[in-house]
Amino acid sequence: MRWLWLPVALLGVALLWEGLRWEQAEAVWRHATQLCLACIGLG
Amino acid sequence: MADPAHRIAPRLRVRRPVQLITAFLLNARFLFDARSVCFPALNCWACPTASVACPLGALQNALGDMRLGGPLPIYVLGSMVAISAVIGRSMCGWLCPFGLFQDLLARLRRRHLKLPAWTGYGKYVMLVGLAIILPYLTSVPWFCKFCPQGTLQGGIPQPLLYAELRALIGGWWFLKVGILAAFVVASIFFRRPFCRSFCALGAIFSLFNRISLIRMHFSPEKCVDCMWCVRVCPAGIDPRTELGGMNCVQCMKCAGCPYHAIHVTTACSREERDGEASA
Repeated sequence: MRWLWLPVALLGVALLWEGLRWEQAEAVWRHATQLCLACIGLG
Repeated sequence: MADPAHRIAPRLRVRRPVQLITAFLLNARFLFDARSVCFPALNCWACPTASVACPLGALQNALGDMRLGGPLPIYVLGSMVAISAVIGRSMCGWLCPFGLFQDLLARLRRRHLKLPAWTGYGKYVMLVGLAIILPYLTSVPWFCKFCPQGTLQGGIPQPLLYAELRALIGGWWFLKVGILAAFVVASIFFRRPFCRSFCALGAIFSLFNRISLIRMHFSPEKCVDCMWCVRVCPAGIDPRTELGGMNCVQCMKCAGCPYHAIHVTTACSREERDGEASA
């Protein structure tokens, strides 16, 4: 259990890297730059 | 000689400035715009000045897209997993603007009531129901529809700024304002009620508290049951029994223990090695 953080952190970095390669950051940007009506209680 | 319980460790004085600076930077779009980056804290991207993306909003939208043929949201998941494997739930204690908001409200009262233990499971219900299953099935970010941070940062300022949004105000907006008002009042009487019972993002991070690199260590042989840690804990837990558990926000305030019974450590430390060997 003591070293479990290391493979989990590496898995996280690998997912992050692959997500960037698949241009998922752009999808986040698309959602983030639209006004979220659910967040403000209007939709 | 001064009562050792009144000594304040240096780290206690560092946390508040860190919270304030983070809250400012997460809402500094006039300085930089990094809304493609999921910052691991509850900071609503509907805020007119938000400079980063909310990972929970991004996760719900990606799950909704997934049902329509979109990819698994590995970028969002990776950003949460990578950081929480290292620092556990410390984001809640040190970086979250809504955590700061609740901490400031808690200062209005000296004594706080204790929430029942079962309320700690509420955040997992919110995570599974409102942030995963319903967004996947309906392509609607259901957690955002109830989130009080969204009301505080977007629901109130946006209609104030734009008349066309004011015209759209209806029953749901009043429900959201009511939820925010309930948490404002609750935060005065209880410590961090939202983090404990409602926050789906905190629920994700709490899963990593026990395995993260940065950990809290309690030495029962040094504890004299002075209750100092119980009084100062911003999450309202008993650090003697719940340290590093699902409700601990790893703010490290209890590490100022006047008897040095609690301290911050790492998974590689001698205490953790000895603890594992004796288990």
